[in-house]
Amino acid sequence: MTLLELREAACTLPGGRIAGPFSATLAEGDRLAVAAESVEDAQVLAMLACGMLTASSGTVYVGAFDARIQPVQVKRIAAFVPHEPLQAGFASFARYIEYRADLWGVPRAQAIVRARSLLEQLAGMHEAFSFPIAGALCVGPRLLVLDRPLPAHANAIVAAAGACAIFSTHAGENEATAFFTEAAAV
Amino acid sequence: MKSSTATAAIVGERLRRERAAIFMTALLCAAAAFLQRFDEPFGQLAGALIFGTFAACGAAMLLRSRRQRDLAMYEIAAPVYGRELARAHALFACAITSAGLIAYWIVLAAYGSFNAVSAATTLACGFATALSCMNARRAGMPVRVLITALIIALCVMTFALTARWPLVLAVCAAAAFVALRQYGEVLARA
Repeated sequence: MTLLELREAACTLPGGRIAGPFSATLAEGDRLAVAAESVEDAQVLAMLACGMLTASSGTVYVGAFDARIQPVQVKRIAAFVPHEPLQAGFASFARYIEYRADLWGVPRAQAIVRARSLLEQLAGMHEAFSFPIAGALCVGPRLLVLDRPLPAHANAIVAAAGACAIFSTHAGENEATAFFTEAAAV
Repeated sequence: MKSSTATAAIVGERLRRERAAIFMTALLCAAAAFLQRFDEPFGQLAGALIFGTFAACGAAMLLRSRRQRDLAMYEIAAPVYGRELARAHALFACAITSAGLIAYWIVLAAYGSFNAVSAATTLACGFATALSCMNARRAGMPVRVLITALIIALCVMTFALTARWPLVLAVCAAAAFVALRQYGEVLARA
């Protein structure tokens, strides 16, 4: 069953430049690494895939939902992990997970237990990178959208994601191939 | 239930991160009130309106600034409707405005110059200003000029018609309602 479908989705950025059009299809539980032309395009593509940006042309479907019409439903299915490491703004890991659980309407205790178990699987990664991934996965998404993840983290991310589909965007073919190769090895 | 939890999380975390700004707002407004402690009631009302407006605009600018980029990103990524996010941002801005104005009126109350009607109307004007100012975030220059004109008009009206406080409260409530609806629409379409 198709979980994510981008059909010629393009986005007009401030300044008039158009990112895309992008086309991709991802099935439930599958993995896909997509190479964009630039860093900015990779970021836009990731944000389009999880309903954070609205496509100015073309369509984005996540599950059975059109991201333009039902962005909230799309965001319940897809979780976004930014490229930037986590800022040191939260008082503790538990506070960070509680914040995300409240935003996603998930019971706090359940999210914290799940996040701690995910952190153990992401043990080799620096906290600034593992916390956002644990935070994204602890709310139980069906699709994990990664903006330019490091190929070195591919193994840990795939292991932690389990049955969750992974869609990653990269700024160039080499990075995408490297991530996909690492991820496929798991 | 879910909606209120998300709203509380957004407001709580933003207020926790901006506690220094809240403290500074309250301190500056209290200092201004201390300097005006022996002024005429009209002067105190004008002072409360001016400093309340500054506090409200400052609170709206805190939402706009890139200091809390991670929070802004989580708020956009979360399954929260535009109107809920707008409500949370409005609560944040109104909380900071309240902190400034309450500190102002507490200092004046300590010197026996407290006026409940003036306090209520300045609070209402501050809230309407904060909500109007939030709309400037994603607007072009002509709309920003209009919002500035609206804020000045609200302040002048509050100052001139404080004796008719029900009218002032009604106008401020209407302006705040329209501003909040508009902000919610903008966030929903972003």
